[in-house]
Amino acid sequence: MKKFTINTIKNLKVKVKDMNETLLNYYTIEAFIPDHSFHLVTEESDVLPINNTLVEEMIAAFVDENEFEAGKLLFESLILNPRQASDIGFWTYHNHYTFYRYISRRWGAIWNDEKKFETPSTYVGNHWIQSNSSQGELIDYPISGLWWSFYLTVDESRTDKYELTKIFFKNNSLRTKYFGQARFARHKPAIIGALEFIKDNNLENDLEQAGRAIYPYINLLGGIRPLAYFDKEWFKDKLNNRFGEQIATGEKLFVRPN
Amino acid sequence: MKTNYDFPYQFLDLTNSGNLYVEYIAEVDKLSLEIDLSDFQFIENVDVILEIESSQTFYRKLYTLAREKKTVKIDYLELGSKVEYSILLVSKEEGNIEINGQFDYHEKGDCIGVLEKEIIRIIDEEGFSGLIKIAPTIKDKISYDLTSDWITIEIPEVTYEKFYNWQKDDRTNPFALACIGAPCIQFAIIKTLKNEEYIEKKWWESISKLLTDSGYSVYDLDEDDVPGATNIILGNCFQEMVNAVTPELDVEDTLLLA
Repeated sequence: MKKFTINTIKNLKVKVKDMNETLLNYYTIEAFIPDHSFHLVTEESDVLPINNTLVEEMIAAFVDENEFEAGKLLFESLILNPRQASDIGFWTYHNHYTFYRYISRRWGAIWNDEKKFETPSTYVGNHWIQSNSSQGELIDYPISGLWWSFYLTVDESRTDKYELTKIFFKNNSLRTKYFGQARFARHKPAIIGALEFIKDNNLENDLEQAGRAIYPYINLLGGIRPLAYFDKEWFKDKLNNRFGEQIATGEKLFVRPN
Repeated sequence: MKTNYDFPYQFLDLTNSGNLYVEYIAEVDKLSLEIDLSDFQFIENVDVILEIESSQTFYRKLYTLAREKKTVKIDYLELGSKVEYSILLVSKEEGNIEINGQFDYHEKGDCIGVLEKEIIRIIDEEGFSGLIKIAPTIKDKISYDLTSDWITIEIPEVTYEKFYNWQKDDRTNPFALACIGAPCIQFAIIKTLKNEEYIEKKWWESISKLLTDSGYSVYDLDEDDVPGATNIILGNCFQEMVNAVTPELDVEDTLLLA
């Protein structure tokens, strides 16, 4: 499969940033239609091709704002190792071609006439052009984020290995911000432990609250100890000790400080 | 430089850059770390662990070490361009631990001290052109974009047309770097000193590598080091500029003038 060179991403980002008024002539709802001024240079990656119907299947599977089914199709079809999955040249190319229609349907606000965007270039930059290979951006962009979300939460020891991934996908902030961008997410027992805690305590209906309370607490625990030293049960015990009473009495887990 | 890792309290700092316990070898398809702790005085009830992280591939693993030599090999497919490792002393169980004649209470897994902490950079040698993208913009001002893997300096189109010729010519290149590059690099370093977020950026990895190769410790960098560090990053452009114009001035005088 192809990918953009890094220089192409550098040029593309600057070009799009300067192109607010004419931008939607190139980024249409159906396809990316560049002209010769874009100077897009590609190279071959060592990623194996995916089947041609994948994107249409992903579009059909995206229902009720939940991307779990679409993400599962992607993760099971796109076989990547971690290094390939952190390649922004690969993701930016496929955001513009292979997965373009999925992204435009999922994140299509710039084509909605009722929502007037003052800076559509920022929106395009934030959804199509990946210029940063950090954990925070890999988990936050539409397609790379789907892939990494599965990679972090699949639990082969469970009867349904996607059981916790389904919870992860129930709240976009939990997935792409609170847990997904945390350093503890790199340690699988930590993220699996936290999701199991959510499941065991029936917190799935208020994931925003749970996420806002849990992620700073685990970060705090990591301030004085290497979290990779601990197994899943340690994380669950710590969370139970910290939040068990609040859950039992029906108190909110997260209260915004005054 | 403060990092989250140092919060909320300082661990016992046992680091000694002149006597490293880890030697790393970049093999063809693996990174090999050889750890020799035969000179280290092990402490009862304290584990010595090696923690390895690579943020771009969400990699985080921990190895328990013993007096015997140990080799850890990691496939490059698992790693991004920056690999951080630490050797930490960690409490094996809850209780008092004596170090240097002083007893302190610790829970299991608490970090007691840092024996070694280093960053290995597996990056392409792209030099200044890989670090910075200079691009024309229709806006009427110069701006720096630090959000990508590289730094973008946007300069107005008219200025860019002049600058483009300057940077291509060996005789005028030092002037170009000094006048356009230096303020940007200084801005980027000062921002990084004040904002932890930037430590994770790939451009900071390149800057760190250039500085480390020249004998700077990026952990101890402060604002007084910024002019000298900038000069290093820009390939000693100030000295070259001085040599070209006024050979009787030395670089310190020119930096003061700048």
